Amino acid sequence: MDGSTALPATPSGPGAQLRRLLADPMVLLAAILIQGALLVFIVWPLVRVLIVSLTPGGVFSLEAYRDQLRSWYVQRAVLNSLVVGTLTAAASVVLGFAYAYTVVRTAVPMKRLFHILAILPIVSPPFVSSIAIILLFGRGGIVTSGLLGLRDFNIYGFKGLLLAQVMTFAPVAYLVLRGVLEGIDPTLEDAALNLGASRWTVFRRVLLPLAIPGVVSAFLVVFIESLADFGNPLLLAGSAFPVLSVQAYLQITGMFNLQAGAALSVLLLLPSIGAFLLYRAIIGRRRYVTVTGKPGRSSLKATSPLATWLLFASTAAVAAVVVMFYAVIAAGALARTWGVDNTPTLDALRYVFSVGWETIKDTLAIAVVSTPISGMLGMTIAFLVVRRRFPGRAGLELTSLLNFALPGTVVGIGYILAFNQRPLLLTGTMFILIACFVFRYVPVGIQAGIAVLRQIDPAIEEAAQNLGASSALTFRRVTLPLVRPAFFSALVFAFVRAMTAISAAVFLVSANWNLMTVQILSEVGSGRYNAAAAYSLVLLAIVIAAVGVIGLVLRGGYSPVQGRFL
Amino acid sequence: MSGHAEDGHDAALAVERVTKVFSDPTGAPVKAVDSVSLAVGAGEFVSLLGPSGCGKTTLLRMIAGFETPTSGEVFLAGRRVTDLPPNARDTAMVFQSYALFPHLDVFENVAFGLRVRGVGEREIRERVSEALRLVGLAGLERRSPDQLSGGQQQRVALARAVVTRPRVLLLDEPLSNLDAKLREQMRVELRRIQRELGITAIYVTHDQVEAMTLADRIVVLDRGRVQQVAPPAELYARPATSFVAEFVGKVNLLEGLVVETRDGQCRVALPGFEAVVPSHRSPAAGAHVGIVVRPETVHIGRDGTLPGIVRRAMYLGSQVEYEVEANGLLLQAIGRSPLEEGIFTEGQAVGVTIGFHVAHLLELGDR
Repeated sequence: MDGSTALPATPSGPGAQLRRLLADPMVLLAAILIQGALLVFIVWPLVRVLIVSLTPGGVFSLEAYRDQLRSWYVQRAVLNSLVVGTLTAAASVVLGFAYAYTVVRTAVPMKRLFHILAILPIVSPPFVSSIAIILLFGRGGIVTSGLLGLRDFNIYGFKGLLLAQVMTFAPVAYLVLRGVLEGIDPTLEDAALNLGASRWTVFRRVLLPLAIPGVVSAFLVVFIESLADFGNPLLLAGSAFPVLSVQAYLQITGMFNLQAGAALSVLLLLPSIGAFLLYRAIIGRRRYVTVTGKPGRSSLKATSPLATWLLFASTAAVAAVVVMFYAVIAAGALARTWGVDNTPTLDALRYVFSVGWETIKDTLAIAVVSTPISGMLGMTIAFLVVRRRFPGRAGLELTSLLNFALPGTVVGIGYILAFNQRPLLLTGTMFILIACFVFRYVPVGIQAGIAVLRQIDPAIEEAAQNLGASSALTFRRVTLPLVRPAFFSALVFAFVRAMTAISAAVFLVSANWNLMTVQILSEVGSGRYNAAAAYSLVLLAIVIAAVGVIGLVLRGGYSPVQGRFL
Repeated sequence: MSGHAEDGHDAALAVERVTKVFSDPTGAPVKAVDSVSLAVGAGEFVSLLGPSGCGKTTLLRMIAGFETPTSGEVFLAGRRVTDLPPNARDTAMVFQSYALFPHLDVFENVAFGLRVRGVGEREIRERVSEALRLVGLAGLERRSPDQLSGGQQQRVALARAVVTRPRVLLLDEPLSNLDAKLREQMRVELRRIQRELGITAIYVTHDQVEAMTLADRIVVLDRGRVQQVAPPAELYARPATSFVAEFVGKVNLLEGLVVETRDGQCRVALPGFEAVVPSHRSPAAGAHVGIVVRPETVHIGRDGTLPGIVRRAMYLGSQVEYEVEANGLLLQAIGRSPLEEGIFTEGQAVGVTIGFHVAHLLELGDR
């Protein structure tokens, strides 16, 4: 024919492919625009970080890296980051698995409450645990100095940071593993029991092997998040326990040493990218299972009563810690001076709404603008990737997902390096924060969109076209309503992250555009714990209200899968 | 009623030397459809029949515009549409999975094509009700698709396709998801609706019974190539190739060598005996031929021209399917009306009479 057979998948040769694309210019235009935007806002900042770190004095050299790695302090930071990341991931996966197993596979009371309590840390700023830990176990902590009367107990450093990160990221592991466990057909366990296997054998030989890819991906996701975490180590690690993300930040904001900051952030980037590639390799092999709607619910007999109550007890204990953390935040927000005078007052909240009013408005404005853009972009990219064929399709998906693996520190430094001169002079504007959030949090929308779209028979969209609807009309009238659950997840995630983001945003805020999270960190830094707690409380209230509003707007209609959070 | 369109440019639908090449996973080219030409007259019901992977669905999708031919042209009512996107073609498709819009109710599903065309609200209401009446679903307008049975979903899909009054109705194995009883009932319905509307229809199926009962003409495809185009009776009586003979109905294909041909009768040497078979053509003496003998033309009884032994008997109620050995040949035969004729048991000696006078001769070429 035309010698084009090396092309993958369906279209038969560049001629036919091009003809088809030109017959559908909307798709081509959208693909080009999105590709361009991804290059500018994801790839270019990353390239700038690499260039700056590799060309000290204008010529290529590894000097910046050599300088950094020669330092004992930086060596410790690398080691600390990796150790904390590994331990946090391991602990989160164990806790998350037990928690998810209890909620999905056993018949115990309060499952709904357990689920909500696990979601709470995810919609909070990622360092709320740290604030709670300081209020509980810090120098003025009600447990350490109040209850136990300890004078020289020190929560700062390794153990405090590990506790804070586990409390922050175990819910992420829970959500991943919950999805994994829900995806395993319980009739498989019934079949194994029926064939004479004991419950323990069923767990060990059937459930666990099926869950292993999910367990490994949960581990990698938490590892990446822990490495990238900035707020918790800034508050809890202390100077005796350096970690990379904080060191990179201090190099730039404290020493104004862009090269050193860039080099440190690249050191942070390498293990993240490694973990991400591993994650993709595992996820890539997993098939998407179509929702059949067949009643396949088992009677949950595969867990013995003793195991069930042990699981319930441990899950309840974890849930109790979450309740305690949020209770102490509320108490802190209402206290006069934490640890000194704990009588309730509205002073801190009044302070937040007067002094912090501008910051609240800025934060809200940025979140409200970036959320719908991120959601629509996510659905559009998912649609293009799943349903259309055009040159560079695989690249489009990979670039958009790449941002997930980039630690916020790298992105933040990349943005100030990439957008600090004309024609892309954006530093100090609202736009740079919006761009950062849109492109940083679009991968979740893309993934949710891809998952839902793969479950929708393409014939449904073909039917619309066959009946005379154009590409654009089909997308609007058929595809979009069908991906509503994914759209909901994308919007909620984008909003929550825009409100709670810190690690990249801390580099991008300015006198004109400040964020609540950055403000909270600075309140803690100045020792105003009750103001920090009050800000956190207000932020949490806004997020919960917004999730409710998004849910109301997108309410009703058809949903092929339960719109799962995140 | 439905004359064939011999000239493609007058036809409701014409496909000219259409080829579609896909790449298999290793990148090697695969011809899914290989130089297929076909002209379909207005109001004609044509079935594309073949085993899975024969290219029938690909051909249908090229007519609808979901695939672009690698080479060749597609014409609708004389107009070249090869490069037109699906939404600019006047075809309507009934999908194998029905592809109903799950977020719209029955009424809105059927109205979709009319709304896209900007038809007025009143006309939409009239035409949708009419279409739903046609398929027997009046009164279910506000149901959502998942509240319907498989048969009802099928009817909605059909109503949605015909309501736009397309030039050609395309059906992609529309009955394959229904159970046997319902399938039979829908077959009758489908034929009635197609006749009532006088619509041109292309029907893809791998089920020869469906093709035979529905179509005016059947196009048999194998590995992307057209094997034969003929009305059902001709296809069954005079298959053009051994593939068609074996795919359409059951068959005893007896291979032998031509002894002589005279006066439209051909004498063929089979192992142990000779058969005389009618033939329009005159194959030369010594030619390698196959005799197409349908099982219902093989009679077994107490007496017959050949002695045989029953090797297998399968009782089906209205008939008995036998496998009988005669002269070293294993033949399929059908015993009609076992209530009247009785049943022969396995191992029983019988007489076999082969209906060579209604058999069909295939030239098989050299082996």
